Amino acid sequence: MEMTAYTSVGTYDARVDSLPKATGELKYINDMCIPGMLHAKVLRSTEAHAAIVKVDVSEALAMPGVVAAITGEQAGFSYGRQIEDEPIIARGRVRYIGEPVAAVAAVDEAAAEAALERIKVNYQPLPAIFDAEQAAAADALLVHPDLMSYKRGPGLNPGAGTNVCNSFKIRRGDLEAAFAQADFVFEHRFTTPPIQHCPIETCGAIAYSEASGQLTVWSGTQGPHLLKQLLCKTFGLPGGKVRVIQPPYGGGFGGKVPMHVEPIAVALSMQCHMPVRLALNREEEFAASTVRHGSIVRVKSGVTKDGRITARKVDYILDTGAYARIGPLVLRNSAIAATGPYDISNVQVDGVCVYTNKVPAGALRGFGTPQVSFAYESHMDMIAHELGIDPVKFRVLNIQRSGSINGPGETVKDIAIERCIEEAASAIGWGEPDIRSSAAGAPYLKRGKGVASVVKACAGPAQSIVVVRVAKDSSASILISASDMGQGVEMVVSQAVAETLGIPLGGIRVEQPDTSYSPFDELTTASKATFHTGNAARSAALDIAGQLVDMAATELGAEASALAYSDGAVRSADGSVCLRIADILGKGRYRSCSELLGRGMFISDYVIATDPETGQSPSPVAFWMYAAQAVEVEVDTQTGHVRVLRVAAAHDVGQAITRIGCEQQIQGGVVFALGQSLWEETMIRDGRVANPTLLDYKILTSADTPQIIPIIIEDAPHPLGPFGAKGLGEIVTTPTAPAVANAVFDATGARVCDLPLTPERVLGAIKAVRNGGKAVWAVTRLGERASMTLRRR
Amino acid sequence: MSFSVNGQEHHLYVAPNETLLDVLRERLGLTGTKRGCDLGDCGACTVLLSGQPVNSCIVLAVDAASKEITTIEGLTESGEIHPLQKAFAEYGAVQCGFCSPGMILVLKALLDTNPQPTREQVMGAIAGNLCRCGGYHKIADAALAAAAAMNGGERWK
Repeated sequence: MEMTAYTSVGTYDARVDSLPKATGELKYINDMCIPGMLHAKVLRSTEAHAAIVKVDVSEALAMPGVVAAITGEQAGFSYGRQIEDEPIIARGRVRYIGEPVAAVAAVDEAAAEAALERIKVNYQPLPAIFDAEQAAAADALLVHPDLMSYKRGPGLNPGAGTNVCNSFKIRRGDLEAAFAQADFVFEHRFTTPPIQHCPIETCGAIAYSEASGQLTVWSGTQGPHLLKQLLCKTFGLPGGKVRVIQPPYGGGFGGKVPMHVEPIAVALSMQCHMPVRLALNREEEFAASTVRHGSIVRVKSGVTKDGRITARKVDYILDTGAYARIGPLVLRNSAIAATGPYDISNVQVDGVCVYTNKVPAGALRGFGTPQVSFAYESHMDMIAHELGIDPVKFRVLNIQRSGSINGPGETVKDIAIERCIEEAASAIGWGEPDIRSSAAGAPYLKRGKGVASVVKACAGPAQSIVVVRVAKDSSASILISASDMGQGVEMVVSQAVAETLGIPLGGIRVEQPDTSYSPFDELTTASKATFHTGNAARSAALDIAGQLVDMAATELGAEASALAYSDGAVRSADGSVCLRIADILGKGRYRSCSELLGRGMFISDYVIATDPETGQSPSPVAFWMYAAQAVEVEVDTQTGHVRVLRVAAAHDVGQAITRIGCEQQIQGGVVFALGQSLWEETMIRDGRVANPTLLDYKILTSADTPQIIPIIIEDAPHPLGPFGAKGLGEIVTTPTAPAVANAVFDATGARVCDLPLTPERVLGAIKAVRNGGKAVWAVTRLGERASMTLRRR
Repeated sequence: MSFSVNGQEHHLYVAPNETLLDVLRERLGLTGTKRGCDLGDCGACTVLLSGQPVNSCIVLAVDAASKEITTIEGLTESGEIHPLQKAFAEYGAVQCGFCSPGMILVLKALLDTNPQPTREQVMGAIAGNLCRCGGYHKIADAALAAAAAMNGGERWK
């Protein structure tokens, strides 16, 4: 395949946004200070489920330095992106430990904290439900008895009289017939716990509701425009009076999507008409912001004796905690990917998203796909082992290729997953002679390799608009509302403009997103920014190129159709015309012109909603992402400790725009996901988060980080992507956990079907194998075994 | 109390329970030092206290009396970017950047005593600084590049 020679796209240029961060000069949201700013603190429920008998803030309000105090009765607003089930401050009832029950704003944090201690709350405890499988049952105790009375978005299927806030199904082919005809049927069960974003900067916002009617909110948010829309809707405010500004912030990963701290800050500011800052402390970030949906996933596959998967059924439950938040969409987006990157003729998926009395779950990098992929990719290896087929060969035998039909019934094209599997496996030395013990010769240290291949959608539809201003000195300013939280969208749009206009990268600024002047992007999630905002940036640059051609034509008295913009200049076919920006703007006829403005818009409006009965659509998503990762581990069979030696991560990116950024995302994503594979688990005991600190919830440090081999596959550019680019931000975290679990099995013969792969779980599985058990076990709790069904014909 | 920050003397009244982090950020407006957890777990608040990296969120301000503190702002002497900062920017060691000031100061302390560390020594030195965006490897790449540049004869204090 011929590779286009770009001047900026795909090069290894350094990111343009790094230096002010390295000098400490960049001001983040939690560094900001506005004159007269008050500090807010939130009083949080100590009950998992209770009626609120009384909340009395009068004593708190009377304390020196306290300027405002509110309860749920005073700030009686509810919101929800999918289901409007969540009060900004609890009213009448609390549904999770940590839920806001009151808030105060004071002259400093100490005064605010002291005021919290003077707020009196009387609770009447109610029975609570914590287990997602119990919550999914028909006769379960209800977290939201009034579920059906809430306003909700289109396409949702809540279950009346249940805790199910959404269900989603896929039906294609004849599953029962396929199972009946299969030579083998395998069924396994997997679980994953809620886990945490752990951005190094916590959530923070400042709200200023002026008496004159203007509301300004500064927030470390992944979606300034969505935040504005939600605030207007929730508080009944006119759009023209609300401005949201997004300063730089320290990491998002889905944990800073609207709304979190903003509505409470707004409500307090509305009471006192002073700027109010609310930032979470680390404990609140763990216990009272958002977590990833815990999951219980069952996968059942029908397989021929030649190793062809002919049928797959996935049943799963996502635990969305006390409020739905984006859970209904997490369900849908994971369901369409739940059968994996495989060509399977008969598929059935049934997923439900259920309420429990725990801290709410929401968007977390991967959006449901890490949960389903841990299940289906572990399941793949368990089948391969039983059939005696090499796991890589088994995947390649069943993998999607151009022309395959995927889960939601779309005919896929322009994908390179097979190459990803081959490259990742090769980089890890797959098939090379095994070293079963470490080189040092300790026989209890066993090495193994595992692979996983996965798929995730960028769902859409979404609109991105970008405005570019180019000056006569070829410097440029780009206006976007896509949020750079470290993933590098600022660099992507800068390179798109630099490439298209042939102007120096160093002369391009990307302005801070501000709903007052930055054109629309709903929010930055779903790995969609490179594709959507990148496309819009390229379009805006092409708009300017077109204007330059027209101006040059007018100046020369030539036909515009005889000229074209390339390599940084307006040129004629015979080369006699070569006019750069500085030759046109500020010169001759256009001597008064200092600037040009270009606009570009991209909408993934080709997305067609899935059929509610079958989950099928000819075009269900904006684009798909595919990846494969291969892992080598060393397991200490005496302790169960897993040491990851190296990870090869191959990603079907279409076209790398910021090559260094792709490497950053792959390395960072693998490290992010290794934490979730090995240690990360939000431990919830009777509704209380028992490990709300970075000491007790361990993420990887440099000392734990293995060798990581990023492999950027550009075989299959996307025809609609900017320069052929797809997306990368989430797919990097999707294959890691099952690859590690598969490597642990390869090393020890012990299978763990529940994340994380703690030493206790791994050791328990090893012991079960040693005690004469079958090679394949699912250890759901320490010492407890679940069954595996194997039916042979 | 009196103390010196980035070579400048300060005289302040501090409360007994104010941390060094509080004083640097809220009292002196030096927001380059970040607050990540307030419990000494993440390293985002790292400063050099008498040349040694400390988590300033768990150092009481009074314990810094009469001492010399270097924050990230202190690395750009007379407007010159420190080789570590330059290397961080060039080697992709910065993503969201929130961990970067802490990382850079820990690495400065390392290079002060060990001008030519191995990669393993670098990865060990930053083990108390959490990064959630990146995979630590590019931070090590940058540190080694800065060490090489600094050993090319550049004088620094």
